[in-house]
Amino acid sequence: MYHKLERILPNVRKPARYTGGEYNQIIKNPDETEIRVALCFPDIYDIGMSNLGMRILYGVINKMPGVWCERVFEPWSDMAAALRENNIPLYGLESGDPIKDFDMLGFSVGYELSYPGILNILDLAGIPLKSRDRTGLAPIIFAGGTCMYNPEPLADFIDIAVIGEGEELDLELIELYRRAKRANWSKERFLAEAAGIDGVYVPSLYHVEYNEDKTIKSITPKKPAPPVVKKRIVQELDKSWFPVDTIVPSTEIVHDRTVLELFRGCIRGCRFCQAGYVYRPVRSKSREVLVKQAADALENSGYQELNLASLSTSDYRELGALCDDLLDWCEPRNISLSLPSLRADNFSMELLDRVQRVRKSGLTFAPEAGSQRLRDVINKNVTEEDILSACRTAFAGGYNAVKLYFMIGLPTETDEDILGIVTLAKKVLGVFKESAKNKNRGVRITVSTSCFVPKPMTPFQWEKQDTPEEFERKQQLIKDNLRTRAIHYSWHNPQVSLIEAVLARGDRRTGAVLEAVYKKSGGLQAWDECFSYDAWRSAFEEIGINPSFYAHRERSYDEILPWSVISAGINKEHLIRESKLAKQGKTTPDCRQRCSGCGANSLMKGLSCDG
Amino acid sequence: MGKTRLRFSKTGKAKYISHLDLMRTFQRAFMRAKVGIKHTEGFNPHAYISIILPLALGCESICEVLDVEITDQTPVSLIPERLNPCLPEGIEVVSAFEPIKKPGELKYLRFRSKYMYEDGNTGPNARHIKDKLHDFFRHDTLAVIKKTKRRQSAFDLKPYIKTMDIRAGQGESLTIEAVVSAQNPSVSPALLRMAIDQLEPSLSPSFFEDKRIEIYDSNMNIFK
Repeated sequence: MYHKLERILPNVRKPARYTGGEYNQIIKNPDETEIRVALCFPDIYDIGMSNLGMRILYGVINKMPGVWCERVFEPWSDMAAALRENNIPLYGLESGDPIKDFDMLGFSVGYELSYPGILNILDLAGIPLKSRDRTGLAPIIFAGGTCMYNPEPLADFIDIAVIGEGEELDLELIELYRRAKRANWSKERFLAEAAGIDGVYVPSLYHVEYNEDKTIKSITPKKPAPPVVKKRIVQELDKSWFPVDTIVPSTEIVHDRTVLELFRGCIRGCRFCQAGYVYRPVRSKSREVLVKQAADALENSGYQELNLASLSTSDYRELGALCDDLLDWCEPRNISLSLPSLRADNFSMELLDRVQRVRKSGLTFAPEAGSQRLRDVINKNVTEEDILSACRTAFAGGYNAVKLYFMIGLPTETDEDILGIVTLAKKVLGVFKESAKNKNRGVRITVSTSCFVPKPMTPFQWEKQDTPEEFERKQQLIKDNLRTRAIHYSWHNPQVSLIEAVLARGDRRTGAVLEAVYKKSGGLQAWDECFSYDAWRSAFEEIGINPSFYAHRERSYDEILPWSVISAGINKEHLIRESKLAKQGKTTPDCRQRCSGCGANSLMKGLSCDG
Repeated sequence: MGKTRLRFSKTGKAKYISHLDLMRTFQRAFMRAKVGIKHTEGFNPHAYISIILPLALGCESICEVLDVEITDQTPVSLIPERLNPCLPEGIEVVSAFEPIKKPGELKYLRFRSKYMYEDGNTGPNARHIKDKLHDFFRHDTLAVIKKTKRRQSAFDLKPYIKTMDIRAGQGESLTIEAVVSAQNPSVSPALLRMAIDQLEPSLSPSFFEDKRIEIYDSNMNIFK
C-alpha cells in the first residue's frame, strides 16, 4: 500500500497531508482491535484538521477499549485523480489500511457544499454510495454535525444521522455496533436497535409521501423509529472530555493553533443564525477548567497561539479575568491570544489590550445589516453607535485595519438597507480620520457581504432567498456607491449561495443531484476553483428538480418541512413567534436579560441554562 | 546553554514534510520538550531556528543540521533524548553539540540516488544504462539550463561533482552515489537528473529515491 503511494506522492501538492505520522496520532495494534472506525471529513486535510469537533471525537472514540478510530479527509483533486488512476483505495491516515474494510465510517458534516465530498470519499474508498446497496453489517455509514438538522438530502446514502453533540451519542452507537458484530446481527436488526438510541435518526425507517404541488404530505416512521428525534447534548461541559493531547499536523493547516472552547450555545438569538439556535442551551466551562485545559493543550502541542472559540466569545461571563489568567501563563512563553470575532456592543480597550499583548491580529466586526431597521428584523441587537465606538477604540489603539461583515438578501430588505452598508462603511472611515493614532499609515476597511441562506431550525426557515440576479444587482449597487480607495469590497458568489439554500432545506429528492454533481465535478464544491454551477444546473435539469422550489419559495407555517422529524429542542411556537416579531421589526432581548422560552432548557437534566 | 547544533535524520513519511513546515515542527517540538530557545524580537516573535542546507521535498536524509540558541540550562547532551519523543514519525535527532564550523564552511554533500527503470519489456536494461550513465557523467561539461521566473541561464555542473559511483542494483535499478558541492553553488540530486533529462533523456529514470548521506567541510572532514 505505502509502496504504491510513494510513487504518486512526489507529484501531488502538499503530500504531507496524505501520509499520517504526525505528532500525537493514535496507533493501535489491529490484532487487538475489535472495531475499526474511520472519522471522515468531507473536505481536505487543511480544513478538517482545523475542526475542533473532529479532534474531540477522535479522542473520545479512541479512548474506547478495542476501538481504533482513524482520520480520513477528502484528497485534493490531483491526489484524487492519482489514487483513481493507480487503483489505490482511500485509506485511514494512521494505518494506511483501506477504509472499505472498516466497521464504521462517521462523517462530520458542517456545510452543505461538502455533501458531494461524502460521495467522493465513498467512491474513492470503493464503497457503494447508496445505503440500500450496502447489505452487510459493515461498513455502517453515519453522519453528524450541524447539517444533520436536515439530513434529508443525504437520506439515500447514509445509514444513520446522529443529531446533536457526539461525545456520548457516538460512543453509544459504537457500543451497540460492538454487540451487533459479536452477535452477528443483520444490518436491518442493527439499524432498528440503533433507532432506539436517543438522538439517532435512521432515514430508511421513515416513509415520505408528497402532495401534487411537490410539498411533503406526510412523514411516517416505521416501527420502532420514534416520531421525533431530539438532539443530544452534553450536560456539564466542565466534565466532558476535551482534547489536550491533539494531533499536531506536520504541514500548515488553516487554523494552526490551539482552540479552547469557552462555552456552547449563544445568548443572542440572531434570527438568521442556525448555530445560535441549534447549539442551545448555553453551557459554559468554568475559568479554572479553561485555564488548566489551555495550559495542558499548549504544552502538549507546542502551539504559540491560543484561540478562544465560541459562537460569541465576548459573552463569556468572566472573559476579562479569564484573559488575565491565560496571559499570566502565555505571555512569558510568547504565546498570543486570539478571538474569532467580536461583538461591537461589548468591545473594550482592555480586551483589545489583552488580545494584542503578544501578537497583533486583525479585527472583525459583523454588523450583518446596514440599517438599524434591518438589524432589528434579524435581532442583531447592535447599534450603529456600538459599531462606530468599537472602531474608534480600535483605531485609537493603533489598529488600521477593520473588517466589516454583512449579509445581503435578508427578509424585508430594501435598497435603502443596502445603501446603509455603504453609509456605515463611510462613517467608519470618518471615525478613522477623527481618531486614528497614526493616520499616515492609512487605513484599510474591508466590507464583505455574504448572501443570506435561510436555514432549518431558525425563525427564517420559512423565508425565501433572493435570486442570484437580485443578489448581483444588490452587489452592483454597493460597488457603484463604494468608490473609495480606503474601502475594499468583497462579496460571495450568489450561485454558491443558491446551491447552499437548496441543500439546506432540501428533501430526499435532492439526493440524486449530489450524485450527479460529484460525478461531473468532483467533491470539493466548497472551493471556488472546483465549484461548478453548470454541473449543478445540469444535474437539476436531468433529475427534474427546480432549485427555485427549495430556494425561492416562501413556506407557510403549517407546511410539513423535510426536517420535521428532527428536533433541536426549540419549540416551533417560539420560532413562529420570532418570525412574526421579525416581520414587525421588533427585537427580542438576549437570554440573560429575559428568557424568551425557546424550550432549549428542557434539554438540561436538573441543571439550568447558562448556569 | 548557548549556540547549539543538532544533527538529525528525516526519513520515511517525514520526507514529505516541506522545509518551512519542518522549521515549524522543530519550533513546536522545542516548546513541547520545554527546551527554551531564542526568539526573534518584535511584533511577531518566533523561534530562531536555522537549517543550514534546506532539503528538497521527497528527499530523505541522515545528515541534516540545524542551529538554535538554547536559552535555558538544558545540558546539550540531553537534547536528543528530550526532543525525540516530541517529534513526528521519521524525524530523529541523533546528536547535539556546540558548533565547530561556521555554516558557510559546509562544502560537500554525499548523496545516494536510486534510479528505477520500469518501462517493462520495451525499456532499456539497467546494466546497459549503467554504462551509458557512466559515460554521460564523464563528459567534460554538463551544462544545464536553469529556468527561473524571469530568466534562464546555463550552468555547468561538471566542475562541482567531486566523485561519482554508479552501481547496478536489484532488478531494473541503479544506485548513484556522488559527492557534490553543497552550497555556492549547490548541486542537488534533482539537478543531476535535470542534466540527464535535458542532455540525454533516454537515460531518465521512471522513478527515483534520493537520500543525503553525509556533509563535509572543504577538507572532506565531516561537518560539525
